[in-house]
Amino acid sequence: MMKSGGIRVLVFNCGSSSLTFRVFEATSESDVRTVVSGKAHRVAVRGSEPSFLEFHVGDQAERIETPLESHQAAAGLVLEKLGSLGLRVDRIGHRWGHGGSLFRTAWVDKGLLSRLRTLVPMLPIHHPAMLRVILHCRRAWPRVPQFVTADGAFHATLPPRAYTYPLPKGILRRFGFRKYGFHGLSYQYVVRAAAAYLRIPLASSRMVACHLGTGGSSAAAVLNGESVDTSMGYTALPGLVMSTRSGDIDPMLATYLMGIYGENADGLIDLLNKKSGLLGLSRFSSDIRDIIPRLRDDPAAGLAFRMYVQRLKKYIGAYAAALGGIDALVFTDDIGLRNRLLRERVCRGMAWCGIELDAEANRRAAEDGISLLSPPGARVKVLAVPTEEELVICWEGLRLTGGGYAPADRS
Amino acid sequence: MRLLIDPDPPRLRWSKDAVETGGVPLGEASSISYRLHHGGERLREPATRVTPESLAAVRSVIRYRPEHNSLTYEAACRMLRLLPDVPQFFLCDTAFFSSLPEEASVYAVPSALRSRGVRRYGGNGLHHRWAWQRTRELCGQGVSRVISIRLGDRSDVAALRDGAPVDTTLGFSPVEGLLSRTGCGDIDASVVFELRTAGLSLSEINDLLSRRSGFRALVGPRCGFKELSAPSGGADRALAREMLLYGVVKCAGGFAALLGGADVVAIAAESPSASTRFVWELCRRLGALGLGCRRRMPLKDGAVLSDRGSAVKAVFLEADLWRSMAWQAAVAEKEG
Repeated sequence: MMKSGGIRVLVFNCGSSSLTFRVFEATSESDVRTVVSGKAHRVAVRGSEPSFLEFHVGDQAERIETPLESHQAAAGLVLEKLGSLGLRVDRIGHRWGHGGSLFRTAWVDKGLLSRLRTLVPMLPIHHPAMLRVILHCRRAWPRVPQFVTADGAFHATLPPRAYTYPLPKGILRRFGFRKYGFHGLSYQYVVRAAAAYLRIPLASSRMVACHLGTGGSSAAAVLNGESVDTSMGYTALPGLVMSTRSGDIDPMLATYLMGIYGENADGLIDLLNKKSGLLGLSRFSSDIRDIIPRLRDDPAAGLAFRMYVQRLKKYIGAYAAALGGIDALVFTDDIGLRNRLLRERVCRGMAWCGIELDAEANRRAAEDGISLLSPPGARVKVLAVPTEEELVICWEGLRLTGGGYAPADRS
Repeated sequence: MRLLIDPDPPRLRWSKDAVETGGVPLGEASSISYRLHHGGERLREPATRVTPESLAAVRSVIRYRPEHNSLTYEAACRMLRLLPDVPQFFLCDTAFFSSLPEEASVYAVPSALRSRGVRRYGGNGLHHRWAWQRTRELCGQGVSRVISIRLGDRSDVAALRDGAPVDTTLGFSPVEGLLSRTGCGDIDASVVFELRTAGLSLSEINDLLSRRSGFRALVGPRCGFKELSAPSGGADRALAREMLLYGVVKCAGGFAALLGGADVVAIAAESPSASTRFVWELCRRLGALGLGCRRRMPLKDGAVLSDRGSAVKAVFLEADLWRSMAWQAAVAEKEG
């Protein structure tokens, strides 16, 4: 099997309204190539625009317009397409949103499935879809072993001073409240890619990375390649101002507002997660790309943008101070890669900790490759790095395979 | 003489001079000033003359800090009746922060909520305003960007530019920000929802976050800043100390980012001798801000902590509520 080009790993990555997939062929962590890639768009979305599947094999690209009512329907279509190509797959890997403290990467077996079910409430929007895709793959391709990789696992190295919520011990024991963090796969990839690009040893580096997505966003302090702090918490609510999430708020505000709103926790969870952030501030859009053109004429748009920038600056400054200075600042994901104005504003006035931006390099930064944005000789290297969560899942799967064991109940 | 009154539930505290002269010498009072912890959106001046109108305003903001504000209100009501001819002032701790820029005072929540008094009010304004004056006296009139750190059982940090607030760690309530003697500080608000869903009442949750958390939850009910700063103690105390230090370092870094770097870090604590270790350790960890601190000496009010040639200066201030109140009261008396 190894001689015929190595192990093939199919990776599924469930977004809230998309399903990204890749088939990798690997002989080792450093020798991984993509055989098939693609993305199902507008999954389980009702709207005027049609949903479609994007499917790339080698140089061939295909776009299939078809109703995609659910994530498992999209996954089913991907398996059918791969089957019709006659492409052998040895492993299927899935991103799992929030593994609690239970696992980093694990084979899917009955025991794991029951543990995954208990974790569904930790991410009520993403987890059910992820679970259904896993179950579908088990039914459709029962002979292919599957594994899941927990997205927050990269943050398992947080020290107690960063993850502890100073609440009564009985409460902590009963509920398991602590900071977990998110976007771990993305951070794991970008800090490694940044170190390789800069030719600095990851094992003795200090970095701040910002994963700025069209939905969720966070920042992380990474010391010697290990996460030591991050802006999200027990859930994905705290931290940066996001598209529809408030980010940091006074916890006492939550009880005050529940008082006003008749103690309805669900209503308020909804309000802070889906109607706050850029949407709540701007009053018209959760998308920073819609907000930027209106900065001059619309005070609400101006406030939304300024708050987004300031919150991010505060986290970068806080982590730079906590790390005793940094070697690199990394921007990633859609907003981090594409939004030049945002990067320019965030890096303005940050020379005190060595962060400077080269205006020209920032303007010309590529969206599909790594770009160095700081001027030559700058103390802190500022980079835009496209993230590759699927590749990290593949790496994790290779590590499992390398361990030489497979799920116990594989039929 | 100037009489100063601080609500310290369940009682009132009077300024030292008054206590030293035996009881409260009302007849000798040339002015009376009351500390008002939270002025809500109604009291936006550092000092407000006590009048029937301002009393009504204070009554309307009792709900923001019921325990403290109600004491202030009742005391002022009674005294105004007793001594109507003596000038009396509310010295308001949140007033200094009523000029916070919008991006620091607003929460990223829908505007319908923001119109219901949901904003960041800050606190300890009497201290930070005084600290700004003292910092300029000590470091010169050229000082513009100051990170003002107040250490204690309830620590907080403020970012100041040219004497005006740019940001603060204290938010809607004084629980937000750093962990304190009994408050949890910044935690994921989703915790609150889960506690509520599990059946805890709102007042139980409030009590848990503000009175049963912080050092108390980590170490025990008798642990305050003084105990935390002491070298001894087990793993629990070490974690609490580390969390406070780490939290202050992060706040200072965050505020340096907003100010575009700092000119001075002004560190204040009530007891110089009890906070020596903590303060020097804090200075050592602020190197990324450009602060050089290699010395170790006993602290005293007005001491310069930074090395000569350090890009950022650090000074120690002995925090004294009465002193900052007296300073503010004097300004108010002069202005009438």
